[in-house]
Amino acid sequence: MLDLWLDYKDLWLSGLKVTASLTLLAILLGFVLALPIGVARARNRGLSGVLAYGYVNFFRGMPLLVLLFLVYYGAGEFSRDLRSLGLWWFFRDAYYCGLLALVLNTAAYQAEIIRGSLNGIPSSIREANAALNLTRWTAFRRVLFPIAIARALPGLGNEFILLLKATSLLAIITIFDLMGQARFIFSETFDLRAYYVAALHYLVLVLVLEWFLRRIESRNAWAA
Amino acid sequence: MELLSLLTPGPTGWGDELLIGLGMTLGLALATFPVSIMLSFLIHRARNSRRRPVRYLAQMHVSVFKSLPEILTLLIIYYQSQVVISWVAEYAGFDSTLSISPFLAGLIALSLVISAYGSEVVRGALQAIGKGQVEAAQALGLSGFHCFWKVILPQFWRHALPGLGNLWVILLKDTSLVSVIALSDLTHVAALAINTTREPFFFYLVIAAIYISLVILSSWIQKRLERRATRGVVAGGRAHA
Repeated sequence: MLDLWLDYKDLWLSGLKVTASLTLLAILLGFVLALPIGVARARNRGLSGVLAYGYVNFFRGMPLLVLLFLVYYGAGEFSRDLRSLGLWWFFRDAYYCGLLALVLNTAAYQAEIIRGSLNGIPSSIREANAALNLTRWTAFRRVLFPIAIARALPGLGNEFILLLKATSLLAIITIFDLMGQARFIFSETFDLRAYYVAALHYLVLVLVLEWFLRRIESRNAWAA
Repeated sequence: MELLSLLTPGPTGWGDELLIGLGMTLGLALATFPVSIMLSFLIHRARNSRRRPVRYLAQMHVSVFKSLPEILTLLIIYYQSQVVISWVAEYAGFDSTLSISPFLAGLIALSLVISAYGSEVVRGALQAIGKGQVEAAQALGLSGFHCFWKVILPQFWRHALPGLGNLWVILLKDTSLVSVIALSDLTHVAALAINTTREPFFFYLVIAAIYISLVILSSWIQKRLERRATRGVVAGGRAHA
């Protein structure tokens, strides 16, 4: 199996890079998108609450594969409109389409995690904020947000791992991540071991990630 | 309106094809779920086995199938079992044109993945029931089978339903992956429809809506089952009567 890796070393390494960049970008952008949605879900009032509820259930309800096709193939149908809007460069590229689908998907899951940790904050902390005369914004920024994030870490870490695995779906829309390279090498050599090599990559990535996340979590033990 | 006419059954519409695809999706999910629950129990047993190698194997199963992307598992199972079947066929002197159906490959791959998560659900639920129930059953002289069937299992559902409901939804969505190995499930039928109609956005939106309604329906059923499973349970955990 090592020979198969060495023969296609450059491909595997570039696949690894694409998988890593997609995962990191998607988790970060997803978090930025998830934060307001999660807060709106936790407040659960007014129009923002309804919209956040709709968003979460829409994107969690469909398989990522379908969302991926919807963005990638669906956008092609509106190519003329997208061109006139100056957005075509984005939707023409499988990488950006895949990234967009991943971000939309993970934001829905992360929003639910953030909602859970915000709702889990004991009311005594909110009372303390009120007693200290903190404004709502200060209370959120300096007290509730740090606590919520620390409590959300295990969930977000889990989502990180699920997202890493989910990036492999992008191989279907011609992205050459680890999975894409494995498919390419398999089509060249008809050697099934290509998939096993890819599997080993994912196994190591997930194990390293798990170890890393456990270290971060142990630093935030105070939040538990 | 023009688009909606694509959904009518008959030679011009895709309504009947989509319905068959939906049947395939549901069929695969319904066939896989019981298999993966049984497998989850087995893996849970193996993880608590007295024999060390068995314990290690079960632990490895869980780590491996929780780490691998589902699609990779599916492709490996699909291609590898083709190879294995043709080896066996050659060795036994059969016709070597035998091949594994995408449905079976999907069933095996998905139950391996779901059971890795399922064994954790089983562990959590059995822990919630507690050892005392098993000890009480033994004290009453119930056999191992009777203890499991009459004492543990009826209480098991109450604690396992939220976790199992989650797994069911994950499974339902993961069945879309088998479209990659050309099983004509909902996603695959949509791709076929798009090949002729050139309406990708519309068809993917339609099947997205179907998946979303299936998920909503599932969570409604789950809530009803949970209410049934917790009937007679007073908040605080102790059952009366």
